[in-house]
Amino acid sequence: MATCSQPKCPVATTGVCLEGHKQGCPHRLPDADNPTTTVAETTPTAPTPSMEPEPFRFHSGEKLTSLEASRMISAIPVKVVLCSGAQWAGKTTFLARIGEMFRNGSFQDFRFAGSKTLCAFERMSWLATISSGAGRPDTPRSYGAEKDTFFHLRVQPVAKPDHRADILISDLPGEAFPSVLASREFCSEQRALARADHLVLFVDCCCLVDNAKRHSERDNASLFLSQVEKCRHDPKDLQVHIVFSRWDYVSRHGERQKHEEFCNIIEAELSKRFGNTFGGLRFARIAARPDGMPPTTAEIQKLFGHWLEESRSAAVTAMLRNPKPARDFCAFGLT
Amino acid sequence: MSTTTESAILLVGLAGTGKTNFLVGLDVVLDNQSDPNGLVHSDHASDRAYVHPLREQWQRGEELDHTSRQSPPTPHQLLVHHPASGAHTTFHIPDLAGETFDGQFVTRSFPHEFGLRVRNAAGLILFLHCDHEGDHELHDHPFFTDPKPPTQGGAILSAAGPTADWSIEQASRQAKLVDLLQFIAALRDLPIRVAVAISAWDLVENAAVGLMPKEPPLFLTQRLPLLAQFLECNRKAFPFHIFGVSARGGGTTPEEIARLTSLVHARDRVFIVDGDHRSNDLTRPVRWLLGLFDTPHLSNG
Repeated sequence: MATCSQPKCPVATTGVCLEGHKQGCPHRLPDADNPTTTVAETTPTAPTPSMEPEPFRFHSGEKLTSLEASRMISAIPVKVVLCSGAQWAGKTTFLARIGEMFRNGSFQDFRFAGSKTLCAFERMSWLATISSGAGRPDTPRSYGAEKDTFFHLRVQPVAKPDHRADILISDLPGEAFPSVLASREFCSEQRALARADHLVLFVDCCCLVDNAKRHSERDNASLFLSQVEKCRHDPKDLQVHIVFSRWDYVSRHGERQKHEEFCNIIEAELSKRFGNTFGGLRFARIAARPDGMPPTTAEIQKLFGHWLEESRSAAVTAMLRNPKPARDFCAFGLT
Repeated sequence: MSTTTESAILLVGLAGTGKTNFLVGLDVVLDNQSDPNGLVHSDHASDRAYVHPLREQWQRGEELDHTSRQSPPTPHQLLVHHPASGAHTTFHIPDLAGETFDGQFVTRSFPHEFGLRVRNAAGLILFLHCDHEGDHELHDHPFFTDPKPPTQGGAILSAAGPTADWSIEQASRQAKLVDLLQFIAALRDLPIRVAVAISAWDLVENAAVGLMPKEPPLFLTQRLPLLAQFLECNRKAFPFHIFGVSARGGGTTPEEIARLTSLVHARDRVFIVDGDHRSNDLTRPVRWLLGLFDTPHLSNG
């Protein structure tokens, strides 16, 4: 009888593969009668006979690859969130703050129920810790190689203790943002964008308070959403959240009112242009790691809560989806 | 119950969290039980080569030798009897070094033998030290941040000198423990009971009012919220109960050692706190794992 390296795969007892493979399952192990069979969860190469039994291996703790994310999406209901925006707009800092808020227990409406990517969350927050030796809090940049990789969180709504929700969050590296603006083809190739339930666009307030940069920042937001509208197969299934990020640049500015009014103008323009394009369009003003003032944790929690709201289209999709498809179109756009 | 059952209990915890002190204190209490509902030794195991020298050290009030990661001891065997129910049980409790668990987090793997123990264990006691920080402190405090807004865009630059690169060893304690529990869940089809033992509880009791929460569940919620929430949300996989444990009974200063060794009964050094209950009965976590608890409440989490 076949055996599998995945601890909960019933193939050895029922003959049915956990992932539905009839042939070529990457986790399948040699015959169980062979005493040298490995029992590791993931084995990159074929097991070789050895006197030492193989250890049990587990998730890496780092961001999930698109293949790993696809497996999860195929197995359980998952919300996919994509954070996008120019370099230094605060995407990674925002995600780091979410991890920190779960670690310090400050989320009011959700409890932490698990994560496959705890190491990635820790890595992101490291330069904001005193232990790192950094004199000021900082966040490591996301690089192009991290495109289509995902943080994972499983949470429990406080109001629904029997409910669990899994979220995969990807951040489009800032260096890829100009390419998305410039090329519809490049935009179409973004797997996470194709599968996302929620798109968070970061509009950098550091640029909005700078007369030399404010107009291009506004235009880029509009252009980006236009690209998404054209590249997304089903824009009505996408919830869009515009985040005025690094809000402390506005709130602490000497001309605060002027800059707030400019943000209001952007809100009005985008609402008018895209209000009926997507499944929803919301705005938030967030300072995830501001200087000399507390972070806007209430706004962050509110945005996070929106990600887990059940959209009408998602409910219809869940009803129509065959829970045991004959063929695995694994990934739903991710691979 | 007249038959003898065999069980395995795992002591899980990072370095310096009091696993060995608990094991020795438990051995002492099993010989000198004062709680009529507690477990007692039905016999001594034939091989006490591991625990006996440690017990002598413990009785002298000395700090116990660090458990070796290189040559882990064979699982200590405890032959126990529960007079209140008549149950006889033999336990095998491996006392692994805390660094072993750190290593498992770093390598993202369990040695084969340990994995099999996890699959077959009757329960686990998860150790935390009350004085160990669950997480790294952030720079968020206004003292550490510049009150002036930056005047230029771009990166926030580090003002101080060199920073240490992140490595997986530097993950916070609560993240390590959550991941270890997630590893355990991946190996098991059935729930496993978890007795959370917050060790050195004497430090909590002696701390100034307001400095540390004095209730074990509240302590866990406030000091290690990620772990507390993970356990709460996964109660079906990990039914849990939280104890404050002082298995050494005090500090290591000469005065403290003199106090500890002057007691008539060595068992009086130790104490365990669990809601309104406070006693010397270190077998309570074990009894809870076995369903031999004397209170109707299964969990205080």
